[in-house]
Amino acid sequence: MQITIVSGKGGTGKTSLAVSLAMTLENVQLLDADVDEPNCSLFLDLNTKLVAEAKIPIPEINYDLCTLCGACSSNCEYNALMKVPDQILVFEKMCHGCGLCSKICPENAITEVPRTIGHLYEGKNEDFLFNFGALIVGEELSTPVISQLKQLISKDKPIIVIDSPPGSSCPMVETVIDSDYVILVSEPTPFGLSDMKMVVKTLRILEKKFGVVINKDGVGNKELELYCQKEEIPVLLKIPFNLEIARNYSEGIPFLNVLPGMDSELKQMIVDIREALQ
Amino acid sequence: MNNLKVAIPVSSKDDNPTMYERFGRASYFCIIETEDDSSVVLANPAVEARGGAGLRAVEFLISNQTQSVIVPQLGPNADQALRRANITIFQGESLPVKDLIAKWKNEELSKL
Repeated sequence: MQITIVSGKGGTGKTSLAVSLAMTLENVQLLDADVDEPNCSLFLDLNTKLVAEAKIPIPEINYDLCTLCGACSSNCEYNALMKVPDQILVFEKMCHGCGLCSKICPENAITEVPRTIGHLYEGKNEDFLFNFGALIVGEELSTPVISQLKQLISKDKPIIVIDSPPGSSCPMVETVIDSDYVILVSEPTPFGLSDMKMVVKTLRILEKKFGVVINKDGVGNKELELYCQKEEIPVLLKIPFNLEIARNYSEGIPFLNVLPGMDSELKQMIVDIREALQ
Repeated sequence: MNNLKVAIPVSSKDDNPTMYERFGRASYFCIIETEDDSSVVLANPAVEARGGAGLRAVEFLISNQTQSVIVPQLGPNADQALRRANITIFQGESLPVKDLIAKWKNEELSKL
């Protein structure tokens, strides 16, 4: 079972929940797919090591064959290729690695060469497996790093918990696309609700089963809960707004180890999710 | 100065529009023939580009045989593309295009 934790707004508690949830489970794999800023490892006492590079294919032009026809540049969806009078310029960072240029070149003058944009790491102890991806600073494409990170998902682990990037755009979609269940963490504030609505819309298009965890319960207003009632979205758990949680968080201690009874509440949440999936 | 085609990003099709503050996302380019000061204002096809608008705009200017541009500022991609296309770049300011061309003719604009 693959469960992904998402949020619309950043800073609502995805990482806290992902780490706390994974720690309550046995024989679990935790994947930190927030590759722009992976920070699950701050809460884990694990040594991680580099296991792979994340790469995308970019075009390389053979000028012995190129006739400067411009088919590649005029069809590039991302404007990564540009024809100037005497050559085709390749703008590496604009390239999404789709490969269209190499396929449509009438002279077969384009080959694809790999370019490293991120790194993949692994750490483990006993029955806990942890992987994360990290986009290289200055790179822009997190989605391919996430899809290559997902290739490290273990077939031996009965449950996989994935920490998604915030938002509702391509990186988040790539993270949740093959998940069995999605947990949407939100905070009961106007910003939290507004961003959450976009995620709900996205998850419905993707036909994903999902439920909401309300974090920092007690701040803001009741609009979030009213919205969930109206939209018939299950509220799986409420995590109180609590200074002790913040204080421990700043020292790398997840709320699981701060709030008494949280262990059984998280375990119960998984039981509820299993039921919802049947 | 030689007679050249000089392009300036603008936001309207007015008679004497003011230079727009952005390059790739400008609605139009005003292209001036410096020989007789005749000008045309052409819609910039890059204005709706999802990404890489600066590059698409440079490609458009190349296809219109532009030899120089007067710009407010440039992103790194557009800058590189203009240089590789041998288009000379001049630093502009928010002035009507006729004033900018007058300054250009007096060699008062600095080359970037």
